[in-house]
Amino acid sequence: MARQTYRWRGVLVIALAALGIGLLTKRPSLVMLVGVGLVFAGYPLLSPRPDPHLELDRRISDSSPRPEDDVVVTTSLTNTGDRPLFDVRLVDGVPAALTVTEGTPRLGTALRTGETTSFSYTVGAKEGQHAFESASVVLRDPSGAIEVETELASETTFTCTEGVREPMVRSRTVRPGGRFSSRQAGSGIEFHSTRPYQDGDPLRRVDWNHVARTGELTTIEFREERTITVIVVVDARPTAYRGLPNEPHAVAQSVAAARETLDVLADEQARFGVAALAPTDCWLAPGAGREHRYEAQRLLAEHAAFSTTPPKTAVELEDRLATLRSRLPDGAQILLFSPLCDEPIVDGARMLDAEGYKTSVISVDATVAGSPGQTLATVEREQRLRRLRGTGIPVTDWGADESLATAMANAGTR
Amino acid sequence: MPATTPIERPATRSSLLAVGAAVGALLALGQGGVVQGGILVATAGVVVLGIGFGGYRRGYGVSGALGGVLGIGLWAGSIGLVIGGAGGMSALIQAVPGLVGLLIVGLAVIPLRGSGSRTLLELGTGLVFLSILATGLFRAVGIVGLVTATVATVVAWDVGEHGISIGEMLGRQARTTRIEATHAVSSVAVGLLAVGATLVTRSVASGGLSLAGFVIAVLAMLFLLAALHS
Repeated sequence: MARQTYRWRGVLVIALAALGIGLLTKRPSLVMLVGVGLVFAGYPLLSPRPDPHLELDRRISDSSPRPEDDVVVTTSLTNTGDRPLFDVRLVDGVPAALTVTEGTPRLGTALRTGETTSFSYTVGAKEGQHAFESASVVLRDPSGAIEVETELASETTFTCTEGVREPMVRSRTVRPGGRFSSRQAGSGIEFHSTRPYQDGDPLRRVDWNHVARTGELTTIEFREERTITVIVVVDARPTAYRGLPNEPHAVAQSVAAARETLDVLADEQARFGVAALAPTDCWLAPGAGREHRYEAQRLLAEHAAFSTTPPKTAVELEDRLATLRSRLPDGAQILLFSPLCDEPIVDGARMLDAEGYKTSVISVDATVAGSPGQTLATVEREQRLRRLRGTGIPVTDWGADESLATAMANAGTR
Repeated sequence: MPATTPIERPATRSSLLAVGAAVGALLALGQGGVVQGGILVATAGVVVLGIGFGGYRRGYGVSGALGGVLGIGLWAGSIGLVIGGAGGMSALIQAVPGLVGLLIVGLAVIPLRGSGSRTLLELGTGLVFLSILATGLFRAVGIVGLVTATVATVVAWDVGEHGISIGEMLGRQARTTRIEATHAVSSVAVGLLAVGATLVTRSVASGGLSLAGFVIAVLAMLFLLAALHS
């Protein structure tokens, strides 16, 4: 996109003024000054027009940093055209959520044919997946009269994660070793609790020590080792694509959190599946094992349902929930990642929980205090959290400025 | 983590070159000794003013303010020097606009505020050119001096505006050596070409072409160029 800057107009006007004054006062020397004006007026006409044949290459020092780490970005620019570029101005496309801590992502240079120049700057890593945007380049001819704007894309992303504690899974007791165990007592092999003897209890499960001390018959209950099944559900409806101005939006954060959680679930040897509430259908039936974990992670990273750009089509939540219900195995638990931006999702979560699929919610806070409308949104979201908690659904409220691990640690205390 | 915010002020080297070119323009007019002295004092004043601003922005509040006051004082002193010693109204008309223009050019690129001011720059260089016109009117100055001064004024404006533009887009932290150098060299080269071309036309003009005929030729070229521009 080329445009004129008209910066030489003033000189032309002054030259005419000099001519006029020289004529009026009959001073040949002043009239001569017009010659200067003529030469400078011809300058932009004779300047070679800039031809944007450029290539951008971007390298980052660490593609999986931890939060607060420094990531050094080195950007190289090459003139791939056959004419030199006299005035090149580049502003690199730093992701909106990140801040530059050292150096600057801007460069001004001139490039001969085939020449490459590079510069570096440092950004601070923040949690989530960050993709660099296109770099903006402005080219000018030597006289500055013609300006050409263009964009150079270079796919660069990095994901920043931090270890997450065990996700809140209902009806579980986590032992120091970390295996999930269901609270339901049964005839497993580990001591759990005692209860009064009932007719029919096998005698080998009687706590004889207790009988010897007190003379009462009590039966030992053992903890049953049961594998739990968890379905990770991400709310990726258009209404969930909310976010604070310089942060990744709620869906991106939810997906990042879901990926972390999947790793923990896989480590704890739970069976897990993936589902999305989105225009595009996404479902991974619960399973276990390394292949299954890779498949789940791949889905979360690449599936269209979790794309970083908001979908255009609306989602009928009832339909999606009905489809989900039809696929859920009995006794499955649901881990819902949603910013809770509207009421239908709250009703949906309560319904699933009431139907026996115990639900927990991890909700990223995409609200901000500001205008009355924004404050109202904050208050409404708080009400939704309270309603869910009131029906026994644990909700982890995850603020934008805390890590998921902190949020989950705090959730246990609420 | 502290975030670096871009310092959007005119590029330093281009700004210095712009002020330098403006000073060169005034000196090339070959005015009387007192006026030349006044120009140098005014230059010192503008430089001290710039240092004062820079210090103030970096946190040296008191020293910066003192530098600023000293700079203005020096400049005012140069005006006083010229008024006292130059003698005659015409000499004043030749000298004072240039000195005022020099200060305004300095304020435009220091910058006085924001990312520099194109308006102030145009005003400043315009005043310097006014001095050139006045000198051409009131004194029989050689054409070389006038042309050199005009070229230097145009270069001052061009390099100064370029510096402001770079400051707006890239900020002071970015590496801009090459881009400033390329533009400055290009402008100076065209300036030298302009001086040469004007001297050539002088010999052509004094070789028999009447003033009117010369003027008509020049006007024709100007209109041609204007048509090509748009």
